[in-house]
This record gives sequence, structure tokens and C-alpha cells, in this order.
Amino acid sequence: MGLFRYTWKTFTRELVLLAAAAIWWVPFYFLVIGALKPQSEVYTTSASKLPSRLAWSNFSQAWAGTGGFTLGHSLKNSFVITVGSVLVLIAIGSISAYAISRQPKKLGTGLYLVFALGIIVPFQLGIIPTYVAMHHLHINTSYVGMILLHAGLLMPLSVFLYTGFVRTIPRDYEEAAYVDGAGRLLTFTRVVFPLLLPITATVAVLTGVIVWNDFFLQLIFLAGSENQTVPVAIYSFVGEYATNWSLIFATVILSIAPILLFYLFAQRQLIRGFTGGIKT
Amino acid sequence: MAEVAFRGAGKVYPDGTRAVTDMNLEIGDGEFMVFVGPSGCGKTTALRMTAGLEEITEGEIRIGERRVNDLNPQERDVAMVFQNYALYPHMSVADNIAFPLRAQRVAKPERRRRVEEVARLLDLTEHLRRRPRNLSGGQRQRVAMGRALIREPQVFLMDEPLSNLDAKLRVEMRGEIAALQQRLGVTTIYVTHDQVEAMTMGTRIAVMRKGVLQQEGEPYTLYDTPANLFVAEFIGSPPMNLFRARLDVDGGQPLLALGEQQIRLPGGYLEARVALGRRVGCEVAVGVRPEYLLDGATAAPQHPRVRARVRLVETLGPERQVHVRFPAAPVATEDVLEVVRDVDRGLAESLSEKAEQPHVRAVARFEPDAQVVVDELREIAVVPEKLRFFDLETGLAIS
Amino acid sequence: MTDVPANTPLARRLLRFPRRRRERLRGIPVVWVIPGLALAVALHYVAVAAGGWYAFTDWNGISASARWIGLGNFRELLRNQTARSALWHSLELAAAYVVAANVIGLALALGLHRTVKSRNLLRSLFFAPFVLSPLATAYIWRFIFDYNGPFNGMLGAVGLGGWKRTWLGDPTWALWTVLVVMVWQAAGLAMSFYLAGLQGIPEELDEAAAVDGASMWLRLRAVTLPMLAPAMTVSVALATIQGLRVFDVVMALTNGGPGDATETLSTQVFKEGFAANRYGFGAAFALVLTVLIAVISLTQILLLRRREARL
Repeated sequence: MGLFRYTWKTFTRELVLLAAAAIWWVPFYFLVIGALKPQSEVYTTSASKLPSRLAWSNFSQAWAGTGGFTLGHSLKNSFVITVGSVLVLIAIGSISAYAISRQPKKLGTGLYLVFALGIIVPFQLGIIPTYVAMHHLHINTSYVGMILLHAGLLMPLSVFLYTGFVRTIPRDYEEAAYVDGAGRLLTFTRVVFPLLLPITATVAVLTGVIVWNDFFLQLIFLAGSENQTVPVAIYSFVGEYATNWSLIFATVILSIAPILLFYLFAQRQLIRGFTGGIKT
Repeated sequence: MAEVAFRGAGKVYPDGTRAVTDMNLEIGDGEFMVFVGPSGCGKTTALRMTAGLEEITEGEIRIGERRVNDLNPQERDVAMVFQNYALYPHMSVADNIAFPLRAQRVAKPERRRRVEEVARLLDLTEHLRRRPRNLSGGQRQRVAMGRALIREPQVFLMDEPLSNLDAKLRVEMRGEIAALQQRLGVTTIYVTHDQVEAMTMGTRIAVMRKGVLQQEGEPYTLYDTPANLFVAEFIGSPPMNLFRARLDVDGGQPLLALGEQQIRLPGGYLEARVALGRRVGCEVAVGVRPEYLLDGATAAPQHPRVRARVRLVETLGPERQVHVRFPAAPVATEDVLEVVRDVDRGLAESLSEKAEQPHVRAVARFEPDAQVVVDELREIAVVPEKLRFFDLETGLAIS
Repeated sequence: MTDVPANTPLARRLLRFPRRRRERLRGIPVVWVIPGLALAVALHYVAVAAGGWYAFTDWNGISASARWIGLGNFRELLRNQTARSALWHSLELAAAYVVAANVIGLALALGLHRTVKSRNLLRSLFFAPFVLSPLATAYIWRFIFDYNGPFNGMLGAVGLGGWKRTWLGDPTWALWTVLVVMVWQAAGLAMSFYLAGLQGIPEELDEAAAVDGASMWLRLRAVTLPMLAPAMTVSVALATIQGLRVFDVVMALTNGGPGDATETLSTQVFKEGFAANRYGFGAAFALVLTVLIAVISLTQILLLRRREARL
């Protein structure tokens, strides 16, 4: 490209950006060496000094958590709730979007708007009544309750993403299935849904990350419960560990490891999902 | 106003692909130079190298005695019209045209005055407030031209500016652009893949192929005396008739042997063409334009005749194009095939398949009222002075 | 509708139904939308409406009944020192956050736009903090900004020892320190929006501007930035909403302190509504937050969209 003749200029730019990225990631540097320092050293040595020995025991201690509730336990809870929510969002979101796009114009647009507006309406106001309602139904700390909660809250987003995509699928496939004698449900599961795979991936990744990282809702509903998730668990652990930074860092590493690993593999999907999917 | 000189200019991409090789060309001040060739021949790259949008990796380009290799586009004082016009969608027509002046920090009132002047010249005055997306293709094209004109640069660069217009508009604009350039007298380099456009617009044309300049000169020169088979096949519509023949001398008389028939050449023919003279006994490629294949019944008697079978008659107002089956082997070298391929893949395939057969399709020009019947055997008169010869291996003209 | 040939078994089956029923067999019943709709509506509309109602009561969440007190909660909100601070902080934080995140994000995107080699790597690196739990990463920053932590350490090392502070414990600085962490987490997202926007600008325009004689700055101002308007609308709107709603980061870094120096509307919703058992009062905060978000983001979108339309 002729506009970038002076490659030393571009090169300098690249160097500057790489330096910026390095600075951006300095917190992770402290995180790792902090987690590996023996607990006594964190305050006695300067933060950037490397540990004198690698204290892997910090991790096992972090894992054990406090009060008999392990981090592993909370990981399992997070996992169940996240996967459950995502599955519900995919199953119901896709079918709803499909139904919406195959309705007569006015009804379809109307339904679509109901969902779309749901994305904008912030939920803070609705937490209290929701809590009360779930409390009455005795599901406010159960898996089912949390899954329904997250799925319901993210349903507008899921439907929004799916509808945009379904609209681009020509009806030929469904008509062919119809002529072949397939019922509507079968047509959806065997013909339409497989065609939605790309957007399903986006929905799964996007909502998965949102649910996994959620703190506000999970704190309110699950604080102190057996089913508490990773964010809630960390919050209470850290409250207990006070300034035991090594332990705190070990906890943090253990808790962000799953997502970080996931990010390594699915970054493109994630970035595209967040920026592309949110475009109105 | 300036001359543009290409001195050994070339471009190689970092991955090794070569776009332009050793281009040497001198464009005089005020000339309308057309770069023409099939897609991928390097013409657009050469243009962009002049603009500063592609780096010149070899040799140099000079604009008005200044070596521009190290100058960025802003400093070169050239203006460019892009194939897709590249109009700024968020600016009005007036702002689009004024933009170069804004870059030069010309004051607002002065800008406005000049924009109005240009708008009048290009018939855009009613559209000044509109956005590009609300304009037709032809109008957008004129805005792009206006933006280029307003700067009064040293060189105009145009990258296939008419290829997105419909046929009728294209013909109209061709004339307008040519007239405009003549009036303003700005050195212009115009890129197109349409050889008709090249022939009609340029004061000089440069044919390129695979990054190499094939021939440059006045349109008629390339038409009448192509430097190689590629140019011969590329320029001219319908294309030059090409066939293989053996050059022989029979009792002092030179002739071209095409299988069973011969074309007798006039005395002194070989003496006037020294290089050709050395090819006696060899097979050469022969080219002749349709207008020099005449009706044997009415042509001058001294022209040699060849018998051919009529395949198709096309009646075009001023003439009859008669397609005949010429009793000679076709020329199916790579150069020729490339040009044919550009037009019609299938035709190229069949041509290379039939390379060994003793027939080739040729087009002759008869009078509009000539009596011709399909499938009859007719005598075609050949004008020997207008035969052109090429080496079968190198494709180069034999003079 | 493609016609089914009349003599196949399928056709015979279908022909048994009267025409209208046959045609409805093709349509997807609206019923299919019900489950999704019910869930979404229940949570987004019903619950929110109910919450809105509670804002006008004094309910404590435990007793069976709630007493209507009209604007009582709101009056208290305006009188209460902490509440007023929370409101003010939310606004300050949101404004600063929108500006900082978008300026940095835009700068990064412009820098990254045509860098050849490490582009993808850089993009991943800057974006990464956004996918991590804000809570978890906030703890790292708590360490960094601790009085004995690396930030002060660095200040001392470069000779600016006099600038050392308890960043998170100082009422003057705590809010802005929280801002730093927020921006760190989300600048990568803004960057991605702008990168996507930049990719949508045809290269030819930049080339044309260069040939026209425009310097790099003029090209940026006159061509690139205006064409980024749609991306800017989205990024700014989203950042505003997030800035007003922020919760995790504040809770992890300062828990609203020191004193009420970093209380925000969201933290108040939590503390009053749940910790202090004053549901009604908490709902009032939530209602204010909702209205703020609705009003501010709607105005923003309208303004920005109008700017876009001039494109």
C-alpha cells in the first residue's frame, strides 16, 4: 500500500502499541507473581520483585475456600447455571425468533418490538419484585430459579440476534421439507435450526460470558447459599482474606482461568459477538 | 503542466508478485496518454504508482523533471478520478469538489467562487447542495471530475472512470472528457481495458500485458503496425485476421504458401522488407486487417486472390462483414490466446484445440451491396502492402 | 406456494383437509413464541413495573403489606446526604467514563487500523479485560492502588514520591481511581466498535483524500471521523448506560467508601434495598436510575442519530 511507504513510521507505531499493550497487561503480571509468592512475602517485598519460591500451596488453599465451601463448588454452580441459561436461551430464543419471523407482518413486527425494547429497559427496578416472587415460589436460590432469571433477562437479546439472522434464511428450505412431509416442529429442528449455527455460536458465547460474570444478580439471590456462584464466592472469600493478597490473587486466577482459556479459543467469536451483535 | 516520465519503473509486491516491469515511457506536456490492456496487465498499478498510492520498487517516475518516488500523494500535484469515483458520502457535491482547495487552505470565498466555476463547466450547478447518494452515475462521474479539475494539477490520472456507466452514456462522456482535456491542455494518463475507448480518446496509447509495456505510440500506428501478436490481436474491432503461412520464393517471386493455395506477393516485396527476407522457407504468422481482405469480384486486379468459403454474412450499414473459412492454419500462441480468453473463454479453448487444423476464420470487408451467399466459394483479394508478419515463437513483428 | 402433485400419498393426505386448514398448516403458530415472550415480559416489563410501584411505598420486604407514601422516598433521596452523593457520583462517573473510554478506544482503533503484523494479537490483548469478571479483576487493582502497592511504588521510583496517596481510601481520589479501573476494563470494547467502523470505510476514500492533498490530520477530521459516526453512536450510548449502572467494580474496590465517596445509584439500590431492608427506598433509587438511563440514552441516541443522518 502506497500510503504506508514509510514503514519505519508504521513500525514505530506498532512498537508504541505493543508497549501500550504491555502496560495494559501489567496488572496480570502482578497477579501471577503475587499468587505465587509465599503469603509472608507479599508485603515485605516490593510488588514487582519475583517470588523467592513458588508457593503453589496458595492455590490449594484458595481452592479450599472458607467455611467448608470450596471454590470448586462455586465453579460447579456457575457452570450449571451458565450452561443451563445458555441452553434455554438458545432453545427458546431460536424458536421464538423463528415464530416471529414467520408471522404476518404486523404481528411479527409488534412481537419483535416487545423483545427489542426489553434490551434497553434496565433491570435494576425489577429486581425487588422478582426476588419477592421467586421467594414465594421457593426458587430464589435454586438452579431452576437462577436459570429462569438469567434466561428471562437475556431473552430479548437472544431473540434479537436470532431474528436478524432468521430473516435472511429463504423459505425454500422449509417449503421443501413441507413437501417432503415433515411436520413444523421437525422442520424447525432438522432444517432451520442447523442453518442457524453461526448465530447460535454468537448467542451462546455472548450470553454465556454475561451470565458467568454476573455479580449483581447472583449476589442478591445467592449470597450465602449453597448454590452460590464464582463471583459471589470470591466476594465473600476476599472479605475473609482481608489483605492476604497471595491468597486473593490465587483465588482470582482460579476464577478467571476458565474464561481466559475460553477466550483463547473463541476470541474472534467473542469480539464479533459483542461488537456486531449489539449494533442496532 | 508537466511531462511524465517512466524510467525503468517497476513494482514487485512483498510476496514476490510482479505487477509492472521495466516500464519506459515519456509522456509529453498536454498529451492524452491511454494505458490499455486486459485486466491484470499492470495498467492500474502503473497509474497508482504515478499517484503515489503504490510504492515504486524499481526505477523512477518523474513528473515535470521532479523525481517523485519519495513524495507522498499530497505532494505530487496530481489529481485522480477513481473507477468508483470515491466521493465523500457525507459531504455535499460542493464540498466534495471544494475539498482539494480546503486541503490547500484556500479561503472560503475563493473556494466557493472556484467551485461555482467548475460546476458551470460540468453542468452541475443545480446539484451543488445534494449528496452523492442522490445523484445518478453520470452526475457522480462529473463530480469526481470536478474535484480533479479544480486543483489545476500538473497531471490528471483517470482510472477507468467510464466503466461503471451504461454504454450510451459512456460514448457521450468519452467525447466530453476528450474535449475537456484538449481545452484545458493538462497532461492526462487514462486507464481503460476497452481498446475502442483507447483508440478514440488518446493522442497516444500504451498497450500493456502482464506488467510489460508492449507498444506505445499513436493509435493508428498501433493499429497499422503492431509491434507484436498481442497488440495485433488486442487492438482493432473486429480483430486482425491472423494465420500461419510459409514464406517461399518460387522462381524469383515471393509468395506465402497456405496449404494448397498461395498468396503471390508483388516483386521487390522482400527487398523492401529486409528482416522478412531472411525468413524465406520458414513459417511465419501473418496478419491482415479485415478492410484489406476485399471482394475478389470487384477489387483491383493486381491484388493476389485466395479462395475461401463463406461462413457468415453480417450486414452493417456501411459495409458487409463476411466471415470466411480461410485455408490456413490459425495462430494459437499464448499471446493471442490471452486476448481471446479475455473476451470468451470458450473461444480460446476451441482455438487451441483447433490449432492443427488447416482452417482459420477470417473477416473480410465487402461493399454493402455485394452479392454474397453463405457456403459459396469466393475469391478474396488480399492487399499485400498491408500484410503484417510476426515471428511465431516470439510474437514480435518482422519488419 | 409450490403445488404438490395431486397423486402422491402426501397430496392425498393433505387433500383430506379443507383448504383453509391446509394453508394454516404451513404457518408457524404464534403459540411457539409464548414461552420466550412470557419469560421476557415477566422480567422486563411486569417486574419492572412492579418495582416502579414499590418505589412509592415504604415496604421493607418482610412484612406482608406495603404502605403507599407517594413521593416520600424521593424526598428523602434528595435530602439524604449519601443519596445525593450517590446520584451525583453516578453522573460524574458516567460522563467521565464515556469520554475516557471512547477517546482511548478511538485512539487505539486508529492506531491499530492498518498495522499489519500484530494487529490481531493487539486487539485480543486490549479486549481481554472486558470478558473477565469485573469483580475479579478489580481485586488486582485494589492491590495495585494500595498504599504499599506497585502504583505508589512506581511513583516513588520515578521521583514523584510526593504524589503518593491512599488512592482508594482518599475521598478526593477514590472515585477517579474507580474510573481508571472501569476504563481499563472497557476501552477494549470501545476500540472494537471503532475498529469495526473503520473497516467499513472504503480505502478509496482515504486514497482520494490523499491525492487531493489532504494531510493525515485533515483526512482524519474530514473523512474518517465523520464516517465513524454510527460506531460512535453505539459505543457512546452503551458506555453511558454502563457508566450509570456500574456496580461490580465499585463494590470490589471500595464498597462505596471511604464514607460515601464512591456510592453510586446501583450500590445504593443494593445497600438500601437489600442490606438495609428498605425495599421501597431501594426501589426509589432504582427508579431514578432507570429514568436517568432512559432519558439520557434516548436523548443521546436521537442527537447522535441526527448527526449520523447528515451523512
